[in-house]
Amino acid sequence: MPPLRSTALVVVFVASLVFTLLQPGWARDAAPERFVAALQHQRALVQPGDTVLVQPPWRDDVVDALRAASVVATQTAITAAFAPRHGDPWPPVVVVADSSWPLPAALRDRATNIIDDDGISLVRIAEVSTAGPFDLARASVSVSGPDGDFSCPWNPERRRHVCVGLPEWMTVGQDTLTIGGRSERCFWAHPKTGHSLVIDYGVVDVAGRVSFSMALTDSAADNPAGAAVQGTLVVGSHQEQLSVQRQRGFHDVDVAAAGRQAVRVELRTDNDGQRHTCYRLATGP
Amino acid sequence: MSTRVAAAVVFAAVFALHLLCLPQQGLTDDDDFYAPAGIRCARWVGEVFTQPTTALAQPGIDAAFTLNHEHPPLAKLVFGASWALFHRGLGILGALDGARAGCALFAAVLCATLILWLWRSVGVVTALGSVALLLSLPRFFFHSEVATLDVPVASMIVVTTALFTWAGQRPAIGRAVVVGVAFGLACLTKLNAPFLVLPCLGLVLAERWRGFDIVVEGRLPLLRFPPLPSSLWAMALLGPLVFVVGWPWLWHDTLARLGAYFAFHLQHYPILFFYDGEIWNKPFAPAAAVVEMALITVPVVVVVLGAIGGGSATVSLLRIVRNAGASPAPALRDRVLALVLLQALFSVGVVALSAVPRYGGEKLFMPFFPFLCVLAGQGLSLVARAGADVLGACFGPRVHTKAGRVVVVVVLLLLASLPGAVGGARFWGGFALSYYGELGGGLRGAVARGHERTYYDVADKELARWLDQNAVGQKVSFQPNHKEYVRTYRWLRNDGVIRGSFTLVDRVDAADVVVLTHERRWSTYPALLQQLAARPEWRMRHEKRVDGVPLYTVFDRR
Repeated sequence: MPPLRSTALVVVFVASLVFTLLQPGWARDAAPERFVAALQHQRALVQPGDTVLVQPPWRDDVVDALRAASVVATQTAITAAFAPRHGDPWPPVVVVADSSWPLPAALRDRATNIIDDDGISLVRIAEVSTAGPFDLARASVSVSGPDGDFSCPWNPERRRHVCVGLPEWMTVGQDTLTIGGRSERCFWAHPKTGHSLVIDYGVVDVAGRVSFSMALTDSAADNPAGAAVQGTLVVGSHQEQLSVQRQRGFHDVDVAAAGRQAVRVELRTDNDGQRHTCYRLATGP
Repeated sequence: MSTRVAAAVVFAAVFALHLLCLPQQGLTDDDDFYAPAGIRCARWVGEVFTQPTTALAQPGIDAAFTLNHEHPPLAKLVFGASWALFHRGLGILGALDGARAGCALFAAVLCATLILWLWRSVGVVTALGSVALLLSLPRFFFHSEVATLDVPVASMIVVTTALFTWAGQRPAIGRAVVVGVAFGLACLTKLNAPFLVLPCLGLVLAERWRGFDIVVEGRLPLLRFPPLPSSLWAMALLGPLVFVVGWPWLWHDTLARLGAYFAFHLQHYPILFFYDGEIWNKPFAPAAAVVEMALITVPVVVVVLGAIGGGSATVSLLRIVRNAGASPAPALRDRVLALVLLQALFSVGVVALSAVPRYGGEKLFMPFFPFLCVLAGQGLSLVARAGADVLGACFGPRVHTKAGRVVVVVVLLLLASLPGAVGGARFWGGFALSYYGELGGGLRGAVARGHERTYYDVADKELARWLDQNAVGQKVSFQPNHKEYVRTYRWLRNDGVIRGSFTLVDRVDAADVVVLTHERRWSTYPALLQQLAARPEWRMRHEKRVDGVPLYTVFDRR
């Protein structure tokens, strides 16, 4: 009889080889029809504004099948690609996943009450907004000026408002940018020459004071040829303006206000060359 | 066979293997940083001999070393020298491949060092097993053939660690000086090299902890330290000296430039990293990401053998701690295995536990892999012995003959190396960074878990040649991170890999053909996929899938 230790070592080694051989065959992709059927059964999960997220991410055939089957409203985004930044609030998503494959921790940690429908897992993830009253996803964003008016609808996949018909940098959304030598989280909002970029938060509850901070990125602030960017905070019937041009760091204004108020931010510039602008909005006593 | 002959054979075989393979490898976005910097450094070395006055003056030095001065020059100098030899001199490799041969040289030195270090101190099976298993790791093999600093620094850390145990065998000033110089050269390779001293210090503490004492002199109690080995003093004294002397960039404005070097790395800009289904930037990805990447990017058989060898190394370390200060000194085998274990743990721990950006899969802790393979080689040696016992019980004493043992070892070596070798073949040609081991569920399991399916903006030659044939006269855009391909495709054109029958354009709306590389760390990726896959003006024309997972997809405008 060989010693127990020798036998154990050989068994562990052989087990690792067997695992190597068997592992690739453990999970197989479910047919697209099963995803379609499952989503049909659980159609009530999907609410207006939701994004349907197919898992695992390589199942573009399932995305095509769900689109072709018209299981959900045509304006509902269906995608296998979803890449939120860690720490950002999530848009509401309905996950339709092949149960054979694990979910990413980011989804798994948020998914409660998972429904299993014949090997297809479905779950709706809708986080309570942490944005306070100034929820950018619900804001109305537009650009108006001599070239006409442009709408900037919310794009749930890019997590930002994207201005239709304007250059790709004409978006409004959260970013991490270098401001005052530090990485700062704020809302990218690039003005367009001679136009007014309006971010309208509608009527929201404010708590005594609304603070508006605005900055250029350091590289933009260091550009001696850059034009000034004017920012206007409008709270009800009050408004305050500030301007940034060649100074690094945030500049602030406050408007005293309480209760239900219409809140709006407007940005303008005479020349949009490298006017990489970012702002923050907060309310407090 | 003598150890030196074996090491020479391994060096020649590994170097030749990499020289044969590297022309097929894809290009990383770092190749274009380090190869040109290396070529400039090598030209400067030539000018030192032909025009010394000009070359050694500050303008001459700055002209040669300003490019990529964020990193020290040793590996780049080797890249430049290999470019001069294999491209300019012999003409057998293209310009970039000539520079990349320098990285292959470091990989060959690393493997030869493992033989020299382990053959007699730990055993032939451990030595050969560690080299074979290291060569079988698909990602490490890829990193050994690109012009980046990760494998060179891994190599220099292993060389210095090996020399440290060699110097500890027979303390002598000459040996200590060699260790100090090697440490300086390692520091001249990449910033993570200085951390190698911590495990060495750890081993010394394990051996000499009984030397700590509290003595009372007068009224004050004083803590007395055990004596440090001369090789550690040499590292502390010679290392910085070699670092400054070996880096001409520091010869002028020394303090300011040293300060800038450390400041750059202490405040390294964060790099996006897709992990667990989210994009991490600041805060950096959790420490667990580093450990997970270390274990799921290699075959499970290597992890299992590494754990067995790690157990053996732990026993060695505990034996050293228990017998500290006793005579005779710890066996060399125990010292080597204990230090390998400490180096493996530190190389991952430094990235996992410090406040540094975590990104790029496994590239930041590349030194971990050779140490893991040494432990796995030791594990293989133990399994071979155990296998001989088990087979001997079944088939009688002939298994215990020399020939029987050789057969057992060779079979086990092949079985242990095979999963990695098969993985390397399946992800060959620039796709090795998409390889995941069985612990991660392979590529499909890892992608389902929310890990990145590729990174480093690899420009593989298979796609380049396809575009050259199928996108003639068209405008091609790589998304989501086009700018890196502008640099790498310049090399592909200049080296004649492609004719350059197409032009590159940054913007999707200006492109006829878009290559989507599926790197999910870019927040624009979901919208790009939506735009290209779901809109009627684009159609899918070509795709590279491995295990059903798309690594890139080529769309063209209808």
